[in-house]
Amino acid sequence: MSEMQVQLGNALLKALVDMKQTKKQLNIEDVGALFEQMASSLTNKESKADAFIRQEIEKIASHISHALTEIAAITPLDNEEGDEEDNIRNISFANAELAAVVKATEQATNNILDAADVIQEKVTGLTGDEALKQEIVDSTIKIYDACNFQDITGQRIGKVARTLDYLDTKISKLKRFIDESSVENNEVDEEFRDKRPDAKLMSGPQMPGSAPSQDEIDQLFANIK
Amino acid sequence: MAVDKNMPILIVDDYKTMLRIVRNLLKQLGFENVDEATDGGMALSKVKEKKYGLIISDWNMEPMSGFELLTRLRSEETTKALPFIMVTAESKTDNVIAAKKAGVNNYIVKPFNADTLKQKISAVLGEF
Repeated sequence: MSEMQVQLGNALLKALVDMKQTKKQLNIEDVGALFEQMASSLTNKESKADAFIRQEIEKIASHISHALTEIAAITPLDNEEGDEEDNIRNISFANAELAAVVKATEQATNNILDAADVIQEKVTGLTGDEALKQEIVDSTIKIYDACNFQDITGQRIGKVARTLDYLDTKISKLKRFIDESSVENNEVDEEFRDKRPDAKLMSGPQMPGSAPSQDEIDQLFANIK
Repeated sequence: MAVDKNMPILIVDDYKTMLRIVRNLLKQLGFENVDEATDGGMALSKVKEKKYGLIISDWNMEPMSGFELLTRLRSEETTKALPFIMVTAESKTDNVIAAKKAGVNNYIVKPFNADTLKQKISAVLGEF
């Protein structure tokens, strides 16, 4: 390790300690600024190793700046007063949507099973071609077999929901860690804005309870002059 | 020895739809004396009240899992030999080994069909 590297390390450590004592806490953009400052302070007389270190420090500073901008572009996750378009990007909202998928498939599965029950019941009461009756019963058993999917999809979706919860927690912690005032909204680069194809689409299907019923829609429709 | 199709069977699953599916498949196999529980705790209570000939249980349930139900049953003198089939999406080798070591009689991986259920019941109770 060259003398310059040692000096650089010591200077960095001292600057971090001083900053901690002065500001009581260190935030990530302070550290980034420190790296930038140190990179620019290196002279042209640096060795190849020092030049490499300087380049690496510049890269780290650039990554920190990039990350700050990206994090600032994330829509607030705990936006309770946001409109529905904001809520689309809320992870809690995504979890509620997944729960609704599970509920809807469960309902559909039960409807299918109800129909299979009726077929089984009706065919039992029929007289005539026994082979045909057995064929129908066998087919209803296949319906029951196939409806296993609902339990599996429910468990898989549950796993995805838990992953989203985990990400939600981590991102929220990261956002709290960063002083949001350091990156104003108008500084958010267009590059980082949500560009998903459906970002501006309607949010349907709406969640049960918050969605108007068909009767309410019909009434509304009738009242429009 | 012939399998008594009137013997009480307890099926345990937290998904009501799965309970319905298993009950119906058992009915097609000729077993109609079927009770249901939605977790291991409820199953334990039922086992204390009634003598079952077979338990078919899911693994992942709250608050008491199928695995805990199995270990509890195996630790009691009166239920340590009660036939127990685990029906679960938990198909990791470690889980299967753990269940086997804990005394499970057979293991069905979801999704399954009527033929698989019949095979496993036959393997545990004998041909029917």
